Amino acid sequence: MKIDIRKVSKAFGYFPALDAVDVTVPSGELVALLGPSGSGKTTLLRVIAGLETPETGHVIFGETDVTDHPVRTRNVGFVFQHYALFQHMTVAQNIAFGLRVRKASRAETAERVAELVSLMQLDGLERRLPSELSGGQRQRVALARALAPNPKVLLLDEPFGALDARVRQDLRRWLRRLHNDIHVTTVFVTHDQEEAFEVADRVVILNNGRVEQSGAPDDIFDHPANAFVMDFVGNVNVLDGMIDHRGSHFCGLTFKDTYKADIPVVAKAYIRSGDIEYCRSHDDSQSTKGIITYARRVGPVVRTLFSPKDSSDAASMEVELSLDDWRSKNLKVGAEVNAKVKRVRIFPERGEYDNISF
Amino acid sequence: MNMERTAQMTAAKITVCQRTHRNPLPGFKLSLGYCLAYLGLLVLIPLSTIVFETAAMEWRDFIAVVTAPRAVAAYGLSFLGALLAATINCIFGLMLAWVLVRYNFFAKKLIDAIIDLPFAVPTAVAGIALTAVWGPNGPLGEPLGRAGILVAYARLGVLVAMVFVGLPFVVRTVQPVLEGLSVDVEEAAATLGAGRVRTFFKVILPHLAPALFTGFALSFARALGEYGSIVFISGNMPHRTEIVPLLIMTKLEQFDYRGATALALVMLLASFTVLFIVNSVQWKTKHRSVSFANVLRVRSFLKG
Repeated sequence: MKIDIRKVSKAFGYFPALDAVDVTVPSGELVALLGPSGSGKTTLLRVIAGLETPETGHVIFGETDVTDHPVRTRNVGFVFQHYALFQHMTVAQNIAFGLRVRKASRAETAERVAELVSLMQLDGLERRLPSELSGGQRQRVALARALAPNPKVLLLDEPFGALDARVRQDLRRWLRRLHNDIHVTTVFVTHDQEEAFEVADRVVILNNGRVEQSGAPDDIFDHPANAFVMDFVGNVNVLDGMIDHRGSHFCGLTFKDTYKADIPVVAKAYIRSGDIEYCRSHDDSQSTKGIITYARRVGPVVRTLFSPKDSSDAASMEVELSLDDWRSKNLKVGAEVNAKVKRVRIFPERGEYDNISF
Repeated sequence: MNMERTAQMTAAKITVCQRTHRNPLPGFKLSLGYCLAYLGLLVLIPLSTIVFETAAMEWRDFIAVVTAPRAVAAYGLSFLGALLAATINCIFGLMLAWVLVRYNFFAKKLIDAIIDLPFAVPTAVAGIALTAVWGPNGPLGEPLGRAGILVAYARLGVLVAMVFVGLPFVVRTVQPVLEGLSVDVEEAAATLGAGRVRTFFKVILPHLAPALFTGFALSFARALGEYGSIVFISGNMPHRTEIVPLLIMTKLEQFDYRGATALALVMLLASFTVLFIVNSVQWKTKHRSVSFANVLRVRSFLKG
């Protein structure tokens, strides 16, 4: 079932949570709504479910305008961040709830419950109460309960937000596999960009109640539409500087063969922490001398801070490199090195320039 | 030598045990002892005198006193009135708690404070106020009287006073539980297609049931023991509007201490029985979902 959201606006008091949002979720796809807190992503999800009423705009499921349909007739499966399981019911009773509401026969209900229990790997837990389950198991019960009445649309609100990193990782992959199996149109909300990029077919990036960009994960990562998306997606160094007739200048870095302006323009350079490379020799203008001020190994990568020498202010840049790289180049904290920028994105005060690779 | 080692090992074991069982707050034995002594002095010893005093009676006299028609009528009024009042309080107390937890409105804090007034007002004051309102000349009593409904100086008046004094108990026990029930759960029921009635009876009410039972028991006990406000509004007609505490009082005024304690003993046993039943029902609701019967129910349900 395709979901069309057309010009939906919603305000809480004077706070505009959604501002003329247009989103299309193609049938059978898994779409992530990604954004910082307060960006309106949860409100949008609740509008799709019918738990919030938009002030203007339309929500269309397939060909049907469901804007005025109440929640219970929309046939959506909704998974809440804090599970919202019925505490006094067992796992099996929780899963069966939606079926009993629909007056399914006992045999039918039992069959569907058994099917979901095995699909969600909850075997042997049917008679437990929610309070007797772990966080990951509770979330799977919530998912089973939402899926039991065969919803047209599955909506998940920060489904893995309350779980620890390891369980989150497992459930994430498992959700992806599950979606490959059952193909129900799914929208999930997250503030974790890694989660969105790992799981979703399409990512919609929201900020201040507006859609900043939507598209395939690779597309968003490689071609961010604007400074916000660039900053939000991935670890980015933002450097203040300017563009003049010789090129653009940022904290001791000069990019000669890029953009030139007859009248100097204030600009910001966005450089991902993985797009900077350390080298021993000073080869061209895209590199700058400086000192490694901090280094911390996190698993297979080393996160470092680099302080450019020529920089007038005490700006430092985050640089991330592989452990192998770190070792083979014999780097250490306090070492004087050159940092070479491999890729930069420059956003002048007004307008913008596209990706520049070197 | 060998024995010495065993003794040493036992000593070591004991220290290990003590270490693992060390509580952050010490003094279980002291505090338990204190609690029991306190309970004994304040509750058990005074109440036991009722039993001893009554035990001095002849069995025949005892039966004659406790089965006198006037006493039986008083039991009926006291117990049925208290049960009915507790039931009414459960329904309206739940509604009040719901409104106070779920909605924000002008003067909510004030209304929240007003609920505790029946706790705080001296019962005689409450009795006078209720009689003034529901009496034959009162603003509510007069129109009702014209319609043929007598409140004050009738059984209905006893019920009104019992409802009045028991109201805060239900509200104050249900309120915190309701605050802990997130709106998520209701929304989850709605997304699964459940209507309001089903959501209330299948999702919200089971969650509130233990608190409601506690509120019921407290409200019942309070109504049963209430004296001050009821004597003002009931008219105290023997066989009709006389409650047990008043009958006991009458006997005391006639220096019939034995008769008074005999009635008191009946009250004590009956209220203990009712509270015991309510508590066991509450215990069952709390543990229902893991009880064996329920396991069987779920199993048969799953098998279809």
